[in-house]
Amino acid sequence: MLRWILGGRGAQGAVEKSAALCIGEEQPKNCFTELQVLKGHFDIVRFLVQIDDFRLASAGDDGMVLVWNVETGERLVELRGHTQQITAMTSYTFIRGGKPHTGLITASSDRTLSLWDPDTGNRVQTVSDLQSSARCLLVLSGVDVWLSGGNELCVWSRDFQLQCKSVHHRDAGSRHSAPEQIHHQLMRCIRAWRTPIIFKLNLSEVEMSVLAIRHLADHQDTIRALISINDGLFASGSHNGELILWDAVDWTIQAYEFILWEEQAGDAQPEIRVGQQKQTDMSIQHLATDGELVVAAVGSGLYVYNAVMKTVVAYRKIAHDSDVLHTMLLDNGQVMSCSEDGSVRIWELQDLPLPAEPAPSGFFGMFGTFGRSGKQTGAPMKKLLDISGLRSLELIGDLIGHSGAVQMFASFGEKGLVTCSADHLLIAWKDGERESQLRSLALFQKLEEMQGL
Amino acid sequence: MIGSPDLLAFTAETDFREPPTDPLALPEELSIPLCPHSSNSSPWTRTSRVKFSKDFILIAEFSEQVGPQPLLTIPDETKACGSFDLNHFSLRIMSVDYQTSFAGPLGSSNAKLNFVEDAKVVLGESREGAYAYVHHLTLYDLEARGFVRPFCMAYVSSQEEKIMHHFPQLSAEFSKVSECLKTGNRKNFANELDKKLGDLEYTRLILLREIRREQLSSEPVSEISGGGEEMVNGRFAWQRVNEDKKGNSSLSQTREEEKLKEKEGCEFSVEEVGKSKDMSGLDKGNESGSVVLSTGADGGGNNRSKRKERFESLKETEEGQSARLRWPDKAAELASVEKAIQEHRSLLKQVTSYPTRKLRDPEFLPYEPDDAPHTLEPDPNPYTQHSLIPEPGVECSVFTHTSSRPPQLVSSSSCRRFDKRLKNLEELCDEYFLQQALKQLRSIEKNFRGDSSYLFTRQLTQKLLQHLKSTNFLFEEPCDLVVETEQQLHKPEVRPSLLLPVSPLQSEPVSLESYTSCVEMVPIKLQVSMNGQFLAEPNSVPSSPCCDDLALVTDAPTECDCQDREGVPIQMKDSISSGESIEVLGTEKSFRTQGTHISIETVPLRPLSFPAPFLEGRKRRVATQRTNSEDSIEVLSTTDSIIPDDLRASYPSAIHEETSECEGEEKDRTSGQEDKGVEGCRCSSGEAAPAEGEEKCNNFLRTPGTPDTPTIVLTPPDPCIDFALNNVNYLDSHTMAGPLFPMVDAGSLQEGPLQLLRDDLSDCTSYLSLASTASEFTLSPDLHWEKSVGGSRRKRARLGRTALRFLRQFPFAVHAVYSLLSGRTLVVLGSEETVVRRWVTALTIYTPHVGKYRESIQPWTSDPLQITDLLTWKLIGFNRMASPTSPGMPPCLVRYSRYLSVLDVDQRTLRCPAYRGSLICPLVEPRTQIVHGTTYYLYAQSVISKIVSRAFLLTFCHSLHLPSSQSEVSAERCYCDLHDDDMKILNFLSELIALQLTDNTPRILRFSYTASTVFKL
Repeated sequence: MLRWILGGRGAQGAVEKSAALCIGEEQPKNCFTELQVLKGHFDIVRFLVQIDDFRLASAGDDGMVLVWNVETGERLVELRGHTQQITAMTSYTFIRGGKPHTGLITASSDRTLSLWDPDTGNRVQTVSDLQSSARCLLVLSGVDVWLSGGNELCVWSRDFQLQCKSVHHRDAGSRHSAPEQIHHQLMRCIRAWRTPIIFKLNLSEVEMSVLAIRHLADHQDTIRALISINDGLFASGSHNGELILWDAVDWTIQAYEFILWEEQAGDAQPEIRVGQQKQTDMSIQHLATDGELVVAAVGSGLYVYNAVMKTVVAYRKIAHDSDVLHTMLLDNGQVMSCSEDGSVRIWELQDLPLPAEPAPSGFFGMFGTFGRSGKQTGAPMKKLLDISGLRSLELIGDLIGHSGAVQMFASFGEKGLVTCSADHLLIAWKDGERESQLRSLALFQKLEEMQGL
Repeated sequence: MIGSPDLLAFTAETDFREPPTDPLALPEELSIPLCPHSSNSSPWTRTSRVKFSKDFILIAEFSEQVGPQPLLTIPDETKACGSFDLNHFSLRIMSVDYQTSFAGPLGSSNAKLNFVEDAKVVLGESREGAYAYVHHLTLYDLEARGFVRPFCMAYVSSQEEKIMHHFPQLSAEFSKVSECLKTGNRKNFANELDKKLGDLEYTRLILLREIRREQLSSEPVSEISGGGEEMVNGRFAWQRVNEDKKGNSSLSQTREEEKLKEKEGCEFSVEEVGKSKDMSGLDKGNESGSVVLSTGADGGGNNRSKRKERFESLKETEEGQSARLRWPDKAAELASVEKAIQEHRSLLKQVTSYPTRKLRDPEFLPYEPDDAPHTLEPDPNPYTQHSLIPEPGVECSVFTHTSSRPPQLVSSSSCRRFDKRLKNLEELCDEYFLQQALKQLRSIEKNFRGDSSYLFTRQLTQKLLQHLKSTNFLFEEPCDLVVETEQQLHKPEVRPSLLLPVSPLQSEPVSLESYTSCVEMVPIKLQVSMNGQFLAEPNSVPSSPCCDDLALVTDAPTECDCQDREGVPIQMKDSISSGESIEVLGTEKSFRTQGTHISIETVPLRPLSFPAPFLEGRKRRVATQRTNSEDSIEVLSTTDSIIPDDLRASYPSAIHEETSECEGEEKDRTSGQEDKGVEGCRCSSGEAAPAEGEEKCNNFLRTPGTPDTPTIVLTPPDPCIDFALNNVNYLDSHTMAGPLFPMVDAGSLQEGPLQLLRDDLSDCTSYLSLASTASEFTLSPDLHWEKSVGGSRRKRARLGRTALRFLRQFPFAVHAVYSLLSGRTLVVLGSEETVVRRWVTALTIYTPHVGKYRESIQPWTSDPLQITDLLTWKLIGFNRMASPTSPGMPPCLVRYSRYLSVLDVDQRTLRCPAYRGSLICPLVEPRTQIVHGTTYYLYAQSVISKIVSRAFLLTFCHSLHLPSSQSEVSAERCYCDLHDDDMKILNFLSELIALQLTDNTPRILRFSYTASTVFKL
C-alpha cells in the first residue's frame, strides 16, 4: 500500500500525461489557491461527513473517526473504538433537551454500530455482534429512525433499539446495498442487487415492520448507485452503464439511458482513447443530483442528465485518467469530480459556442425509451447530438495534491473543500484570498487586544 | 620609572543624547545611537604602535613576594602578545588598585575577611598605545598576607573606543568570571581552613597532653588512674559518636575493635603513664611508645600485634614531630594555638556564611564583624578543667583509621613563612570553577574579537533586530537574534536566588548555583544534626580527637540524606553508606523549601558545642571532595531538581549554539585558516593576476598523490575554499614546477567548477587582503577558532559568495529568486549531491524562514516528494537518480509541478513562472559589480529587508484587507504601484508576517495557478 502511495503514482502519472486532458497551470476560475493538509489517519480515508458548518468527520480503514475544524485545520476529537475499518458513516441530528445535537453513526467491519458525540468524543451508543456488518447507513428524516443496510436491512430507533429487520435473504451474496429514502411518509428502500427492491416501512404505534413490496427487475447488471432526485423521481445506475429514472410513486421507468461510450475513430480529440473498452468504463460509480440535474460518474467519464427534461445535458467520456469515485453538483452550476487518479476536477457547464457543430466529444449510445418499453438491448442508436440543449463540460480547474485515489470530498461552500484519499491524508482546499483576508482580520483583532505590536 | 597609568573616565555616549521629542521620530528602542567615533577618526582600526597583534585577556597577580606578575593570557601569550611587555603592563595595571581596604592586621583576635567588591577600571598606557579594561579581584589564601591575594583580569586592546563602548558588557562578563573564580576560591579556602583547623585542633591536643604529662609527672599515680577512669568515660562517649558515624555493616566489627582497643588502651595507658613517670625528658613520648609497644605486643594476638605496630609507627612519627617541634613554652603555645583556632573558625564561618548573607541582603556590604561566635562560644578552659585529656592510646587508635591526610602539628612560628611558595591559581581556585572561568574568558575574547566598528555595528544590528520581532524571523540569521536573548540570560544582575537559598559556599547566583548548592549544603545539615546530638550529650563533646574517626567514616564517597540526618544520628549511617548523589539532590529540592530557616538556625547553634565546627569541617571536606569528581557533576545535571537552563546559563554558551550547525565545517577548516593567515599575502597575488590565479586553482585541484588525474573535486557546500586554503603551501611549492593543468588545455570539462574555484579564490584572497588591513582578527592564526562571531561572518561570506556565483552562472537567476520569495518551492534537481547542495546553499539567502529556522530548506533528498513536504520545504535539493526509470523529471516533480519551480542543474534549465516585476531586480543586478561574498551578503540582506519592510507595511495596511471595499484595488495600486509579481512577493511575505504575529501557524500552502516558463542556458 505504502509502496503504491510513494512510488506508484509516479508511473501512473507518466501515463497520465499522455492521455489526460490537461488544463495547464493557468486556471483563473479555480479559486482554490490554498491548501492545508490534515494528517491523522493511518489508512485509507473513505468517508467524510459534514457535522455542521465548520466541522467535519473523517473515517476510513484505520477504524478511527477524526473530527476536524475545517476553518483552522485543527483536529478536534478522535473517536476511537472500532477495531476494524469503518464501512459507513453518517451524521444524525436529534433533538435533546430542546436543542438539536448532531451525532455520528458509524458502522464497521467489526460488526458494530456506534453513535458518537463529536463534541466530547464519547461513544454514546454501541451495538455489537450484528449478524453482518452494515455497509450503509441512512437516517430517515421525519421519523426518528435510521437504517443500516448490509446483508439485511435493519431499522433502528434513536436509542439503538432494533425496531425491525427485513426478512429478505434472497441476495445472501449481496455485498452492496444502497437504501435510499424516497418518499415522505411512505418509506421505501431499495436494496441494490440486480433488482431494486422497494421496501415499505410501516410505522405504527405498536411496531414497525419492513416489507418488500416491489421488485424492480429492469437492470441487467449490478446496481452501483441509487439516488432520489426529488419527490417524484429516483435514479439508479448499474455496472454496465444503465441509468434508469424511476417514478417514485408507481415505480415505472421514466427514462432509460444506456450509456455506451462509442469508440470513435478519426476524431482528433485528445481524450478519445482508442482501445478495447472495458466493462468498468461504463460502470456508474456514483450519482449526484441537485433535484434537476443528475451527474453520473461513468467509468472515468462524467455524464450530466436533466431528470426533468429527460435529456442529456453534457457528458465527457474521459474526465479523469481513472475511475471517477465521487461527484458533486455545486451551487454555481459547477460539477466537481474526484477520481482514482488522485485528482479533483472542477467542471463548468458551458454552452457550446456553435450549437450546430457536432459535439466535440465522443459519441454515446443512447436509448431514450420512455415507459417500460425500452428494455431491449439492441445496438445503440448512433446519432449526432445536435440537440439544442447540449452543453459542454469544460474543465476549469483541478486540484492536485493527493498521491492516492481521492475517495470523497465534502464541500463547505466558501470555506472550502475537503478531500480524502487513499494516501491517508485529508486536504482542505481553500480560497487563498479569503483566507488571507481572514488572517489579516485576525491579526488586527489581535493587535487590538494587545494594544499594538 | 613607573609612571602612573592613565585612568580614563568612562562615560556612556547615551548620557548626552537628548530624548527624542519629535512624535514622528523612531521609538527609543529603534533609534540608532550616534556614531561613537569622533569625526576625524576612521571607524576602522588605526594601525597603532602596539606590539600585540590582537586583543587579549591578561590575568595578573600582585604577588606579595615578587610584585605584579602576569599569570596567563588568553589566547596564549605567544599568539596574542607578540613583543608586548606583559611584565611591565601587569605592573602598570596592578599598580592601580581601587579596593578600599584589605583584611585587618594579622594576629588580631578577630581576623576578618574582607569581602571586597571588585574594582573595574579602564586604564590606558598611552606610551604603548595599549588600553585595558581592568577588573581587580581578590582571592583568599590562608597563607597569604591578610589572607588575600590580589588578582586582576584585564582586557587589553589597542583601541580605546572599543573598551569604552563595551565597558558595560566587559564589566558584566568579567564580573561573571570573577564570581566564578571567587566561588571556586571560597570553596578551596574553606577546605584549606578545614585542614588548618584540624591541624590546630590536633596541635592543641598534643599540647594539652604534653602539659598534662608535665603536670602528671609531679603528681601521685592514683590521680592518674582517676584520670584514666575519666578518660574511659570519655572514650565511651567517643565510641558513641563513632558508632553514630559508622555504617551499619561495619558497626559490629567496629565495636569489637573498639573493645580490643579499649582494653589495650587501658593497659597501654597505664603502662605508658607508669613509664612516663620514670622517664622525663623531651623525647619521652617517643621512647615510651616504642617501649610499651614492644612489651604489650606479647599480650595480644596477631591482630593486636599488627595494630600495635601501626600504633608504633604512627606514634613514632607524631611524637617525633612533637618532640622535634620542641615548644619552648607550651602554655604560651597552647594559648596561641587556641587563639588561632578561634581565628580560623571565625574565618571559616565568615567565608561560608558570606554567600548566604549576601543572598539575604541584596545590598550586602563588605563583611561586618560578627562577634556572636566569641560571646557564645564556651570558654575552652572547661575542657582542660575536666581533665579529660585524651589518652595517647585512644588517640592513636583513632589515627590508625585515618587513611587520608593526617593532621599536622603546627607551630605559630611556622604560620607565616614568606619564603614559602605561594599557591598558584589552580590551587587557589577549585578546578571546576577555574575551568569555567577560563572558558568564559575565552568566550569573552572571542566575543569581543574584531574591530571596534564591527562590534559596534553588530551590536546595533542585534539590538535593532531584537525589536523587529514581527519581521526578523524571515531572513535574519537566527544567531543574530539568539545571541541577544542569550545575553539577556547572562545579565549580570543577581537573579532570584530561588535555587539555593542556603548553599554556604555559593556566592553569586550567576554561576553554577545549583551545582554548588547540592554539594555544599550537606555540611550545614550535618551541622544541625550534630548540634542536636551534642546538645543532648554534652559530655561526649570534648573528645575531639575522636572526631577524626568521624571524618574517617565519612571519608567514603558518601552522601547523606540531610533529612534523615536531622536529629537522628543513627540514621545517618544508613544514608551515609547508601547515598548516591541523587539522594542529595533529592534533598536539595526539599531544601529549597525549608532551607532558609535552617541556615539561620545553624549559625547560633554551632558555637554551643565546641567541636562542632571541627566536625563540620571534616564533613565539609568530605562533601567538597565530591565536587571534584566528574561524575558527580553529571549526576547532578541529570536530576530534575536542577533546571538545566540554569546550569547552562552560567556558561557563555551563546556562541557555541549560534553556529553549531556549521561546526563541522568550521572544524574542517581550522587548519586552513591557519594557512590563510600566514599565506594571505601570497594568495592575494593570485588576485592581481587572474590568469595566474586560475592556474593556481588548477593546481589546487590536483592532489599531490595523483598529479595528472583531472578530477574535479566536488565537495560539500563551499568546499573549494577549504581545499584551496589547505593546499596553499602545496601550491607554493608547486607553482613553478607544475605545467598547466591538462584540463584547461583539453577544455573538455565544463568550466563551471573551474570558475567556481576562481571565484572562491578571488574572494578569499580579497577577503584576506581585507583581513590584513584590519589586522585584528584573522592575521594571527588561532587554533581555537570557534563557531563564533568569526564563524558566522565566515558563513555569511560563504553564502554571499555562492549566491554571487549562482547569479553569475545562471542568467535567469531572478526567476528562481522570485519563486523563492513568492513562496513557491524551488527544487534544485541534479544528480550530483555536491553541486545540488552548493546551489541550495547559494539560494539560502533568498529563502524566507517558514516555521523554524532552516526547516524550510532541505538540501538533499532522494525520497519522492509528498504534498506535506511542500508545506514545509521551500528549497529542496532533489536527487535526480532517485527515480532512474524516468530520465527527465522525476514523476513526483511532474505531479506537483504546479507547486514547484525546478532548477535542473544538470541540464541547466529552470522551469518556473517568469518574473516580470522590478522589485527584486536589485538582488541579481550586482552579479558583476560586487566581488566579495560578504559584501554581497550584506547587500542582499539590505535589499531583502527593504522588501520585508514593504511587506510589513502591507500587512498592516487596513484598507487592503477589508473585504469588499471599493477602494481595495485602488488602494493596493496606489500604495504599491507594483507589478503583480511584486505584489505576490509582498503578499507572501506579509502573509508570513501575519501568521507569525498571530502565533497561529497552520501549515498552509498558498499557490497560484500560473503558467511556468522554461528557461534554458
